[in-house]
Amino acid sequence: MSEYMQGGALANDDLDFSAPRGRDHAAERSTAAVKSPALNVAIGVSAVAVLAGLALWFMQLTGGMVQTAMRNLDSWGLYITGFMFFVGLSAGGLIISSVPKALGIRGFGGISKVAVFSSIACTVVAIGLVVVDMGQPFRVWELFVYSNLGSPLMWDIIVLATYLILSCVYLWAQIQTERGKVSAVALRIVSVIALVTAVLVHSVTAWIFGLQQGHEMWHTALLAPWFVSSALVCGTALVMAVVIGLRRAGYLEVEQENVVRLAKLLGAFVLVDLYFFGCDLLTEGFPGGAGAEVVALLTQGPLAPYFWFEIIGCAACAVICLTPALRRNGLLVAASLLAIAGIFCKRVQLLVGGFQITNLDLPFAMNSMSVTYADGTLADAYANLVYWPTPLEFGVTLGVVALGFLIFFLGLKFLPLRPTEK
Amino acid sequence: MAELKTPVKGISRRSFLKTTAAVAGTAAVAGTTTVALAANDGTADVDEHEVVCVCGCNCQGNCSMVATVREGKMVNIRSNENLPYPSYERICMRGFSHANRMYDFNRVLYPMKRKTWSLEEPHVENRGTDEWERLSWDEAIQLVADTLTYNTENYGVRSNCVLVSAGNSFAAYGGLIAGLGFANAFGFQGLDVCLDYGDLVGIGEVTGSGWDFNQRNMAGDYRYAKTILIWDTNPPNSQPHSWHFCMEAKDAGANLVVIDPTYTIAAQQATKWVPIKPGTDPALGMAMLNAIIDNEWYDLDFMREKTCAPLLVREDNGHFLRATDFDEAGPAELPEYPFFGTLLLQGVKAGKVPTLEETAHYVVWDADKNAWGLINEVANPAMEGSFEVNGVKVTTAWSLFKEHMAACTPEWAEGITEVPADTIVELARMYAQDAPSTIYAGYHLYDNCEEMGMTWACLAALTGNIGKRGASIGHLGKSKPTINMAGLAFPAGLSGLNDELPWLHLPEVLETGKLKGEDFPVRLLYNIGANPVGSYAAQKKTIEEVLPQIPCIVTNDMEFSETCEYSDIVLPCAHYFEYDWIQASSHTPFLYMANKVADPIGEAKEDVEIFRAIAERMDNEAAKAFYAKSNEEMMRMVVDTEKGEPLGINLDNLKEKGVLADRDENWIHWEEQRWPTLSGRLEFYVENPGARIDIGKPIDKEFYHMPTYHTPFEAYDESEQHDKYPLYHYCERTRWHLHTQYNHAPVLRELDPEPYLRMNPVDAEARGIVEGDYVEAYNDRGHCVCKAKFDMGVRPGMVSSPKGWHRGAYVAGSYQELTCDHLNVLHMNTSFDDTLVEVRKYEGEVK
Amino acid sequence: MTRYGMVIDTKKCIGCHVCAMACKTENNLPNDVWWNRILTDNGGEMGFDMVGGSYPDDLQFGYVPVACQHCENPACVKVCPVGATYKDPETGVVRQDYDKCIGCRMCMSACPYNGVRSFNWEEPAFHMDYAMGSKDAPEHQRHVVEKCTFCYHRTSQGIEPACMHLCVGRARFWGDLDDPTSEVSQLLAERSHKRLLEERGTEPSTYYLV
Repeated sequence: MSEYMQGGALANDDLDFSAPRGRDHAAERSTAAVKSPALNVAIGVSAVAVLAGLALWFMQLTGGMVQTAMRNLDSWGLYITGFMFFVGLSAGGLIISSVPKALGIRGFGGISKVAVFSSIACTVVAIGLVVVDMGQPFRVWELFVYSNLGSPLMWDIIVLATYLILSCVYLWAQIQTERGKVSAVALRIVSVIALVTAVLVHSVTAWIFGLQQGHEMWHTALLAPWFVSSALVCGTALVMAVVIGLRRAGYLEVEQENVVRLAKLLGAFVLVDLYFFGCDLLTEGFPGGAGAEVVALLTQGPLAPYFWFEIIGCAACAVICLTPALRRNGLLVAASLLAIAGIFCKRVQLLVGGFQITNLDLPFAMNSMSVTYADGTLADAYANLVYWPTPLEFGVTLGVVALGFLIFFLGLKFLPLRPTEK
Repeated sequence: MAELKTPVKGISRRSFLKTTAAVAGTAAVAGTTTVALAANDGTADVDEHEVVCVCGCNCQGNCSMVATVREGKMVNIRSNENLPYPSYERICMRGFSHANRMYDFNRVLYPMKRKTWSLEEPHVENRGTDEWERLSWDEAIQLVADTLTYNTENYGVRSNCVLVSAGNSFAAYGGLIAGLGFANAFGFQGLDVCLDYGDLVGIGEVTGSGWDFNQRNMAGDYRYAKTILIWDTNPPNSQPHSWHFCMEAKDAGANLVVIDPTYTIAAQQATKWVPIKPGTDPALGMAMLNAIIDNEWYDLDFMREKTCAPLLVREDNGHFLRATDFDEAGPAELPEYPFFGTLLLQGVKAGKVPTLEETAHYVVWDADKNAWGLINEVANPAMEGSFEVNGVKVTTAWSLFKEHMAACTPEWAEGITEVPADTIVELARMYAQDAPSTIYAGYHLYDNCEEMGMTWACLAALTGNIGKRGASIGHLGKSKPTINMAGLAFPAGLSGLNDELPWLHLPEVLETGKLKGEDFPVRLLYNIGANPVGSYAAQKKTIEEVLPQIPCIVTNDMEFSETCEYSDIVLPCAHYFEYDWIQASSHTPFLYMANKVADPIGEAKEDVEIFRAIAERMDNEAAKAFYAKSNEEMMRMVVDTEKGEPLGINLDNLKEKGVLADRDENWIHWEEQRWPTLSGRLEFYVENPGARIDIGKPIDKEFYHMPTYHTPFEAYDESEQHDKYPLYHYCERTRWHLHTQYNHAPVLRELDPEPYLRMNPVDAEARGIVEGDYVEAYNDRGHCVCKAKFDMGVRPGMVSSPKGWHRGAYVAGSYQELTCDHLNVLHMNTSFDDTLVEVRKYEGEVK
Repeated sequence: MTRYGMVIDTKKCIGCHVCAMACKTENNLPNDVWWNRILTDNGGEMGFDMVGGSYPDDLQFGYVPVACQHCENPACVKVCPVGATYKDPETGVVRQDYDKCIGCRMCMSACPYNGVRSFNWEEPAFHMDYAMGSKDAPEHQRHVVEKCTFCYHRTSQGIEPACMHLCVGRARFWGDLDDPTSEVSQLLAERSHKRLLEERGTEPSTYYLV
């Protein structure tokens, strides 16, 4: 950590104690809306996709969730996979931006607000995916009236809501700090709270799965830290990819040094994540029995493509990020995308894998409500992936993701997210 | 309000219920009573009441049930817990599907006629493809009556053939009896269904009960057996209600042995499973007889007193020696077993057990005096030996039997059955020594079925496992001594009755136009509760060759069966929950009032109403007089009898109580140890074997005196067909169908959505078939295309089809096209399982 | 205290599906919904109702009726965010409030007994055009989770659950597990038994005699 510490002084580029006037100027500049035809097109496309998603969601609600591929034996699908994934993705921005502030170390060069905003967009997507997964979304209010505080899902809802609000507050605080309206100390306090919440969000999301003894794949104490590490991987990767992209688009300027530091960080996170995976596989597989089934399922079973993609993608990402000669922008973007896709694959493994191993391996008279592929025997239903989404689910998911993009693009256009000039 | 009684007696699993609360729900019901259920949601005024009804599907369950009716529709059903003997409380999942069946999309709602059919120009070639035309009842009845009259006047009354089966219940009033009565009232020709009679003939030849189904003790008696041989059947599927009695015997330490090529749930729950090569079971039984003889495990006292063992068989004519043989007239001409060519009369014969006086003329050899004597006078008859009586050479039946069975060694049987000789000997020991023993028989649907039945009866005769607590053989059946079904079944009396025409013989009769050498035109086939297209063997032949030779086919059915599809006139008959009728058959020790649950749907009418309407339009005064009786009068004819009166059996009582016991819970058949043979003894040597029904074809009497093994017709390794069709195909009784009933009940189709061919993966792999592939099973008679399902419990070399599926459920063909329709002139039973096929992967399109 | 429980004798169950049909009828279950399913114990390789193992010496076959196990320590109750699935304190029965259920299917994921809960993936459809079963059975709703309630509408009136009215194989027993004199308690005292997935710690109230 020493390289981030400079003589014990706070060295945050976003915290400029010496030039209040310049800050004012910068604040003025950053409030200005961005005028870019490409951005407008992106906003338009996202909006259309959101509308299409809404229409499909309406279809799902009126025609029934029978139009999804989810069934009694695989009762969650793409939506919850996406939920897990976007919760993780949301982490990166906030953590990247808040860690330096919270710990008082050097940051990554003006990208803090964009990073936080990407978090907000991802959190909205995550929440949206939970909503579209619900059978009775119009009963959401019950969550607040009949809250069962013992339910991990309730925890998650509380933490996610807090997280979303905090992210907004944090963003607002940063902007206000830049305008001199909020003190640096206050911002630092907010950033500490935000950081804790971020870690909690991932842990609690992990506990939705990890506290369930019903599924061999999920029931491990490692799941919470692992969710944090995975969140860091894909969050950092997202920030890096976005930053490189926005820099290329001319939206902001970031020194290559900061990108390199992000890359190093990503490399480290990826290694930690892989380490956790290794630990988990060993712990599962070593005693044999049901755990070995999980290992076999991942390495040779129907989930093997997702497993190997994750392992190889993340390893490649680490190699690129940690090899100075390879830290070229194109490769770094590729590494980021590999990491993001790798973590998505992880989410698929977790979700589908959770259902892929059945506790009662005893066939019964299946029907169209029992399991996605109910035509053959029970063994046939599990011979390949027990679940594969329907086009409707892809469509609704795309719509929700588009909402994230829409928010992000709108933010780029209307919010002062650019780094302030020094 | 219902009279509230104490809930249920003697069922401990409910005893924990708080009695105060239990009253409302388990209020005992008898007849139709309205129960206003306590409801706290203001729905107390909904019209809801309960009706005691009976399932009439003739699986032999006779389930008395309580239907809940709400606003005129049946909404729920449960087993009737209010029975004279609670151990007979029963229902099955098919019973739960009755609402489905009643309101089934496949119900026949209106009288219909095939568009291009007319009496003058029947256009039989359009059957199956023609359009249907709705008729009023008036038109339909007139059309049927005109056709029957026309045929009667021009071709004779017997050109109208009536095929009655139990599809709409085997009832004491209603269902099958109504159909038989209709045929008899007018003197139409009855057709014999050729179903499940094979073993009966064999058993009946020994016990003298003809081909009556009624042989075994009442199901409750199985509990007292120390050995139960479950042979050729899987009761948990086919007769689930009797299985708990078998399991109770097992719990009490009995040997519960299942003899079956397939590993069934019965086999799994048994103490021993004996896998056997299909169709060879008689050889196993014969070797058991051999082992019993060899090890002297027989019951000599029983044989001496109760069987033909000491009777002397004449060398010259093969008959037992009677003192009357020495009268001037010489040996009397003996009637052939069995005696009548009609099922219902078997019970009549079976009820006639001769007295000791009536059998006093049988001759035995007095071992003490070394001279012949009369059977009732000789204390110590010789069991073995050959003698000469007044110049007639005779040998004891027991000697002949021992000699006859000597070749049937366990080793011989091992070669045929693939059951190890040691196992055969152990089975024989168990049966003879771990007694009392019961043989719970299924139907051996192979050409050698009569040998199977005879072997079972001989096993019982040698070991005394019959007519005792815990000891009986064979099947349960039809007759009810306390009631009089003859009044309804034979309204015109027995005088005009002739033998029924076996369905399996019909093709030849149609082909030649002759029966027993006489002209015999078949002008009309009237199916009543019968589905010959769906239920009978060689379906393709039925459709393409048999039916087109008959110019008019009329069918009464509640469902639009395959037979309806090939009929010319279809009349909608009511479901047995849609009218009042009486159920009585000896599967259970009860008589039942089957109360109407709901109104018939569409224009359906009960069979009796249909026949009454036909009678009104025909010129037959006797029939008119019969049908002038009201339904209640008809019921009284059956139930209000002298025999029943001492037991309190009459219609009023029946209506009040719903279910009446007419027998002991654990009734023992032939407890008096006398049988309806000519000698009153079990005759394991059959003097004068005969065909089940006389169709003018001779049988080899010498062959049938004692059990002699012969192969199935087609299904054996050395048969000609085996080279081409190496797989043994059998039809399994699943719990999802009862013959072709329940085919469309949608709730059952959720659990059992489509037909399949069950096979061992070993045979599938050899043919490149994987689980779930569509396969084609085929032989010279036809084919069927359906999914393959793998089952390790199927004996390699065998495949099975679930019995009952509708043709339309198959991708092509039907399992029923495959089945064997060979006519065996002795038993004339359809040997459905005597069938070989080959199976290949189906490459065609599947919709 | 009363704790309702079921004891099922796997040595007697013949897979006849009467209990499943009784449940289906009594509760007017929608098409393709079965709260009480009869599982085939055949090693898992073969299909429903088929025998596993190898012919003739090593065959595996049997039936296990499985519905909600009404656990003492129900995984589903803990995770429901709105308390739509809850344990009845009087009887130990795990109940389900359709009006509250938000359709998140947390309980389905949490329950280790795969398939005992069923979600109405579409508007409940019925073979009959009128409601079957008890008029006291709660109405079915789209997009909510449902399952066996031990026929709460019956048991609350002192009547046994529909599946217990008659078991054809005489394999099902029902009663108060907390009452040592009840038939279920006595059976458990006499016969060796097990519970499904005992190692999960859910403490089911459904026992299987083995």
